[in-house]
Amino acid sequence: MRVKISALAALVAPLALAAVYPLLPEYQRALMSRVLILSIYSYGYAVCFQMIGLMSLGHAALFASGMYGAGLYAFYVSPDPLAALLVGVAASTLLSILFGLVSTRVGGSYFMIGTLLASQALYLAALHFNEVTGGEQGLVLKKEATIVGALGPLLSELDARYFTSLAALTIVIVCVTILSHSRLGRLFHALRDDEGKLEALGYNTSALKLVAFTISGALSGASGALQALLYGYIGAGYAGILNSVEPVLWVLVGGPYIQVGPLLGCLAVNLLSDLARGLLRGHVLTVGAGLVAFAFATGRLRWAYRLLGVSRGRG
Amino acid sequence: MNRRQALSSLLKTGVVAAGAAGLGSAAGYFSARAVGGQTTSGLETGVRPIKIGFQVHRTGIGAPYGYWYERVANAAVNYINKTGGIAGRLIELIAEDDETSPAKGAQVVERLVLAHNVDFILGALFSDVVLASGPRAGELKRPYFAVSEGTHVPFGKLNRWCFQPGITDVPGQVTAVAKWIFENLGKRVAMIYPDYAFGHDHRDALTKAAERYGGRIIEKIPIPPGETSFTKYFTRIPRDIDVLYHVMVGDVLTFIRELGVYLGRERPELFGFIDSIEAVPLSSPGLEYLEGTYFWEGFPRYADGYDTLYSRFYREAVGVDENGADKSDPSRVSAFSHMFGVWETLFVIKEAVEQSGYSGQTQRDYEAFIKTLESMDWFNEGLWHPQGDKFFNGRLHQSFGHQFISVVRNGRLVVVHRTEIEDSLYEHPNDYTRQSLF
Repeated sequence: MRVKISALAALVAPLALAAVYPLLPEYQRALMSRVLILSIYSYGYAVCFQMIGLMSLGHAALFASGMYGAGLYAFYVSPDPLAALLVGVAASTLLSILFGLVSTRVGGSYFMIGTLLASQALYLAALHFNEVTGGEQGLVLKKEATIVGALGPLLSELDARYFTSLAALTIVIVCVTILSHSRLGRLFHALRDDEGKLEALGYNTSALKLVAFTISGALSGASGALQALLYGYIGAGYAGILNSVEPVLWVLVGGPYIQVGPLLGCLAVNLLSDLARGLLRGHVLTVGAGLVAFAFATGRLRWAYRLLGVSRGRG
Repeated sequence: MNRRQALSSLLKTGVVAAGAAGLGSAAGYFSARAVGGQTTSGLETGVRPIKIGFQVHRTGIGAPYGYWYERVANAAVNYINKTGGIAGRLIELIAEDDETSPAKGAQVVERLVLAHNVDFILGALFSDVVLASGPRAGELKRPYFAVSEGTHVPFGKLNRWCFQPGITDVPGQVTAVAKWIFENLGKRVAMIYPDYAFGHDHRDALTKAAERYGGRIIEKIPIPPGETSFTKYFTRIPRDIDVLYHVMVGDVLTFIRELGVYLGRERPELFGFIDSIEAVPLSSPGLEYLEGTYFWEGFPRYADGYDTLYSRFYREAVGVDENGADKSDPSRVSAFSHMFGVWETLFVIKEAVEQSGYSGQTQRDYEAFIKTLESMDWFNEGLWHPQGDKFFNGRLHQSFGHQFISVVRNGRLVVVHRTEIEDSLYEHPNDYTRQSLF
């Protein structure tokens, strides 16, 4: 029963987002487009964090690899957004396999530190090769190299951004929902709940972790690639540590159901921090305060795991 | 009459005219203040104000600059509103924090246009924020004014909706001071610069200027961003140079201290860009080594460096003392070499609105506004442009102005030279006027 409800929710969510669009004022439309792209990142992060219980602090690098893959292709090779999107996803997939091979061999805090260092390495590389990447300052893509440019004759910029990101998000939601109900998804949950038992049953848990990490990285990269191709700007700022921390909060706030949680959490945090911008100086503070509030609300040290514990058995 | 004479005669008449106008409005300003802020200078009541969105670095790495940018913007808006507004309409300044982040910067542009429906956007300092925001401003069809010094505007990386009329750009600054460096300090130069776009602009401009003025860049030493110790790079400084040219490379106190330890007393002449010590008191421990070294200044921090009626008025309006620090807190040094750009940009908007007859957000009005601004050649020195007169290139959307060279003497900056506008001109093929507006 629960399975059906959560799957239903996953189908209703994109429809609701499409239905609400005409009712929104212009600025909220633009804001929502940004949040929808980030929601894809949120799902990507949840696959790693929520499904197999590994908390990564390096996902900004995976997001950024998608962004750079797509953006650099569109900037230097060919102004073809579709090809660029594929290049971006391919780049992030490759990078997550590479990251995963190293970091999924260890667990817990070592995993966090490993991913954090790997992502810092990518960030510094983006700065170091700034003659190519534009470094901190970044690069601006030509309009015809962006999705907005390609859809220009059909849709206004605002509509193009919203519906492209909504379409991509819908695909991601469907895929994640299917994944969570599949055999592989159940193995991921088993891995999170008791890695030892799964190993004793003869499963190769390192390989499972690597698969989950790679799916997670590919989705994060897709989000980065879309960001680049919808907004026409790439820069090292996206590879910074803050971009690794934010999805932690989204997924935590989103709650136990992976079919809709990452979307709800991302929406809640971003819309609230937009509302709170007049009260709190800088959204960094909002994110930090949110994380601290969560840590207190759910028990100090094991806060993250407790919340994840809630989701046990509810695939 | 050659170009220089043409320029100077133009300047003289312009300065006199602007000076007279400035004196008049200054008198109006003070008398308006004296009667408690009420003004009788012809403001139409009940007319929609001109909304200027302001993308400001309130938090993040740019915050020390952002604080001063905001202060100057408020001072300028205050002054304009008390002296007749823009074409009789008040300015409503809507400031939003961009967190010095490109992602947030672009979002702020959206918010300013779509939620606040501003007429114009006063933009940011940090290049990454400008680069991410400019395209959004172009898409949303709102003029965007960077106060950044970057080459993004003049070199055509943005679009026809983006301007930088209030502050000169790095190539202009470097080209102008390089002439003086090669003529006065020596021909053999080594340069230390940060290994990212800002530093590359310096490297490229100085290299070009060296070709032009017969100097030689003996060694180029890029410092990777995020570096915290510099001594290992100093080993690359050749022994036989005349000048060591340095631009912002990280923590300036560490940089100068390590440089002092490494070079000691037998040092070449040092020439730096004020950016590294902008908003930093010269009395900070470790900066004693800068005594006797030279700096580029955009607008002299110490009042006697460029003491004109206009610069005094501007200083007063912004609340900065003779030493370039906050009047109410002398330890808070201002970003004096950059923040005047905000002041001047607001007056450029005023000028262009009034001359173009811009009245509302229609295609026709924006077209008139942009074409009028593009056709402007000069901004005359005066209360509106206290840093000095400027030549405006409508194809590049960029201003070219005077630069100051100062030496550190007794722990303060003393101006030794003011460059001519011609010294800073350079050629670039970019032409925004060929782009379509809508």
